[in-house]
Amino acid sequence: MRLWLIIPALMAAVLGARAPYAQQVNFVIDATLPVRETELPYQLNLNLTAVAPTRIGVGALLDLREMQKIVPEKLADNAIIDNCGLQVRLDDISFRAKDDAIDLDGEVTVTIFECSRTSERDFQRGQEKNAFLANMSTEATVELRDNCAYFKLIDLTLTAPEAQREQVLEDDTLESVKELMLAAVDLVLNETPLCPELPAELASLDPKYEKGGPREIGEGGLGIFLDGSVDVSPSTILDILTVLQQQELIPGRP
Amino acid sequence: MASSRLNKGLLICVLLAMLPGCGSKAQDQRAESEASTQTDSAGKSSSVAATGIDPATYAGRFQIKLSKEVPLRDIPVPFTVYGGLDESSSTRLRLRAFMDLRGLQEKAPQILTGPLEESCKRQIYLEVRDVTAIDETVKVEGSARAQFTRCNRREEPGIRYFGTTVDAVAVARAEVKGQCLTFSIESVDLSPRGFIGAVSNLFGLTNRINEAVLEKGGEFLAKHPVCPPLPEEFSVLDPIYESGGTREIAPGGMGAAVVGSADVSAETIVKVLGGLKELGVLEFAQ
Repeated sequence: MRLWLIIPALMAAVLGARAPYAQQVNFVIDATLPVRETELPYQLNLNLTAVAPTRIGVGALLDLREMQKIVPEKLADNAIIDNCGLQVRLDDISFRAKDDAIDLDGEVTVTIFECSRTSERDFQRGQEKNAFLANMSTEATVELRDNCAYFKLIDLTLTAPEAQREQVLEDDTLESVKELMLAAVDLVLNETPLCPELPAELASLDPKYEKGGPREIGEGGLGIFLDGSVDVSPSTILDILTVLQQQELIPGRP
Repeated sequence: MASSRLNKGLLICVLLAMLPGCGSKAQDQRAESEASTQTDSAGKSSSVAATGIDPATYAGRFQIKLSKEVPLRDIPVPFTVYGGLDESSSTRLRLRAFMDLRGLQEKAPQILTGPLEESCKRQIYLEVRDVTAIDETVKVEGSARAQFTRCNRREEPGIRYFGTTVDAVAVARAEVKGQCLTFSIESVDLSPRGFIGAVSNLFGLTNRINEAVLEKGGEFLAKHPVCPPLPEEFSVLDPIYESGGTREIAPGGMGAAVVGSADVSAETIVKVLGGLKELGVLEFAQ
């Protein structure tokens, strides 16, 4: 009886172990995300799997751990909001991936100024009225739009220190700071989608991503996964070989 | 990765293919008649390039040219391979390759000259003078020096009782078997020299040399098929070679043409990408 079970189990093990080996390939690609004047490095882990006779499943994992280190440094001491009556400076920020969400924690300095109108359009910042440190915590997620991943803040919590809480509440300051921050951050995030571009050699594999989201890499490492597929034909191979030839990676034409 | 091995395999095989360096005049006539009846006009189209090779033999949307020098018995031999790939259906690629073997042809006499058999009964030494492609066959001209001896107690050549040199012309033909070209000797013709030669004919010794060449040469060829040194980019496709053989690059130049196909599915493409990655041409990270 048991012997009978061994045979299908062995077959399943052999076939199961062989199939993914023969049918999938991984590429690690160095990529950058252009953000304003700078470029942020990330790594694209591409997994290609034959899922149907003419279809290749594409799993892209964007490893953003390098960005995770650089971005807080770049953002530190930057004013997120700087208008006549209000200035919000980012003192400290850190990201952390947690399962399928991204936790953001930081501290902001909120400074409130007198603001007087000098003419129809002009305002003049006056004396500092109040300044306090607030803790910021928020959760971000990733949305897939037009084959690109967009970061999106889910909500933002600002907490003022105990001593100033009463006054802040009274002024309703935190609420307006929060609204302004959400708007400002969303604006920035919408300008910086992550659109993974494949190297020229693989450009003929132009995947359509169907879903995506945050993914924790290792302990708290920031990552984004995108899953999709691409339809292929024999000419896909010819396209790839032609690019390799143009780049002189393989011998040229006669 | 497997290419150098593949190439060496091919070269050795081609050489071996030509080893049976013995043929005949009758043979020549036969080869000529074959040439006249040959119907493959593709190789004779007017668009023959400066190389003398018909581009139709490696037609395709993707084309590749590969030149390699491979040492054979310490003699560097230049090889050039032309390949073409085309989509023949929604799931198949057609593959055509033409191998310019003129470098090999030139060096062949140097490489092939040597002993064919060294037993205690007989020793046959080949001297190859010239290798010529005639249509779809290869003619090898040279001479065979044969010694017949008695075996002594230690199984070594003992008393020599006969020795002669014969002029030899062999004709070989290649056939596609699986992925390789297998050469076979179509005929060997020996012309014994001088009075001793006539005597040896009388005693049927010429026939025995003839048999030895056919047998030993044939064994050699059967054991060593020529597996084309195609670009690695082709090998990763794991193609099936359907037809092919040696072709004459006029006049008398030796080449080989191969036609095959490869099934292409998503799985193949993933495999090809894996193969190209193994070859180190798909590297995107430091």
